Amino acid sequence: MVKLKSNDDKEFEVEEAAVIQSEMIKNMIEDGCATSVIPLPNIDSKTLIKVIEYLNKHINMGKAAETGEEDDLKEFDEQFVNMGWEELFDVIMAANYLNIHELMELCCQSAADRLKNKSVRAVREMLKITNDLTEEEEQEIINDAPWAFEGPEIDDTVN
Amino acid sequence: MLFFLVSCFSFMLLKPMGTLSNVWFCEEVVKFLALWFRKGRNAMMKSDVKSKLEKVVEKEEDICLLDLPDLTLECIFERLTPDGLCSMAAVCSSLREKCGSDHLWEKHMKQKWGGLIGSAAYKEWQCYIASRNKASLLMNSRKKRDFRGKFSTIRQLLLNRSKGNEDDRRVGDASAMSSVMDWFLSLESGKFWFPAQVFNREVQNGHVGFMLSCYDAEVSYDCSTNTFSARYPSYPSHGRRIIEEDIEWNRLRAPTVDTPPYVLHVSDCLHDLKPDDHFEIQWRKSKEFPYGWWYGVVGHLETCNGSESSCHCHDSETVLLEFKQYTSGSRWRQTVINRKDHREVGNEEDGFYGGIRKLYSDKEISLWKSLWPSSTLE
Repeated sequence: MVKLKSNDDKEFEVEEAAVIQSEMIKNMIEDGCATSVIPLPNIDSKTLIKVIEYLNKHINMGKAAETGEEDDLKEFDEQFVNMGWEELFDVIMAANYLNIHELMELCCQSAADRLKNKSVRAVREMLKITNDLTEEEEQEIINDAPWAFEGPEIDDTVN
Repeated sequence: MLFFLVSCFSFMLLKPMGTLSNVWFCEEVVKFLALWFRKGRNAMMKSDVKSKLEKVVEKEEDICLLDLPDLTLECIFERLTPDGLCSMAAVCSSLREKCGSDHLWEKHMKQKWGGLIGSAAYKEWQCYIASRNKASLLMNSRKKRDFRGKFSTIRQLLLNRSKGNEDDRRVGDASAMSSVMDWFLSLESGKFWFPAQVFNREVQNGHVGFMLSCYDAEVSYDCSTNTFSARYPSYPSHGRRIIEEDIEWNRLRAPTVDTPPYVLHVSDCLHDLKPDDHFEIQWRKSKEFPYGWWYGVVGHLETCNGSESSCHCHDSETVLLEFKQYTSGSRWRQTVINRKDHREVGNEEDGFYGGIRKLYSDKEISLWKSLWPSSTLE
């Protein structure tokens, strides 16, 4: 077992087989730097719980393919990314820091899927981004690719 | 700093203070020191309070998309379609910059346009950019003169000189002034006409006379129909340009050789031609017309019975070229060229046969075969 400590001082025990999906921790273990608790100053406990949930589920990725549990894993992934933007960004930052490739891919794909076909206004509202472009600058971008800003598929809702 | 000032101060105190100017100087130094200490303390206090405040704010404020590291953002944006990237670029200035990165657009460029954009189209794009930049530079300099008057023009000139004439250099170099996104969007919007070759030209206009040929044209894309328009070079005797519309992707290719349409291609495969080899040959109706590339297969000479064991066609000085899209009696069905010194053969009646390219790749051969007409031609 490997002990991880979040930045709000909570400790979690994780199986080594699960935790080595993190390239960073794998390297630490290999270098013999993981003898006691591994502090993770960039990750809070709420996010770390999510990450560990993912690591535990994906512990036997190779086996899943053999035993036909792929669908189960797919369903888990779909449920897993069903979270708010802020939480998603927290998990992305954690996956980036811990260097967990599959988790990073999953979350970035989810972010891209959420942005797909969204109107500019909807993106601003969803992500709480203030528009600092002048009207002319914005129009210039629209003029360069008008087809990207019109059509029935453009979604103006913010869910 | 403090040490230096104090030692300076003590040194000055030690010095005899006879003159007025020295006294005045000392006073100034004392004032300065007092001010410096006060400022320093203030600054220290401020930064302390500030850092405490920041900590509070950090905890309260949720992480935002723009807080993600650049590489992570790229990881998200590289999953967006070109339309998605354009839409994100209009959200704010920071995303405009990030979503316009060449790295993101190169993938889309390669995926959609890689097969059709050759070196000729790239050269054309460089010219297009250079002339566009020249025009906008002229316009800008005119604007600047109007707004700021002569003085600023001089200042601008000096500024340019100190920058090493960056503007002039950029006009010459398209890649410095244009992004891959710019190029992609110019292709998508159809604003940019580029050189390509069209198979079975004018079939959309009802012609069958160009079956199994490939002609040079300037083409432009229409993203609403996902088809192209082509402009063929005008014939001197006709004087007007021929335009064909609604051309599908599979009827276009990038020019396969650098030989322009009015230049005879130098054949380098003549000694390698043997029966059943696939080839393309330049052909033009008369000397004032551009060449097109015509597909054919090398046949057996009349003196050969065609059996593999006794065939000596590849040793013969002449090569029989067959165009099987035409019926066997047609004057277009076959022609004979000399293997040793072939450059261009023909006459005003049957047209002129020019340079030959042997086709080695199965991909090219199957492309030609996919364009085969439904019935043989006269």
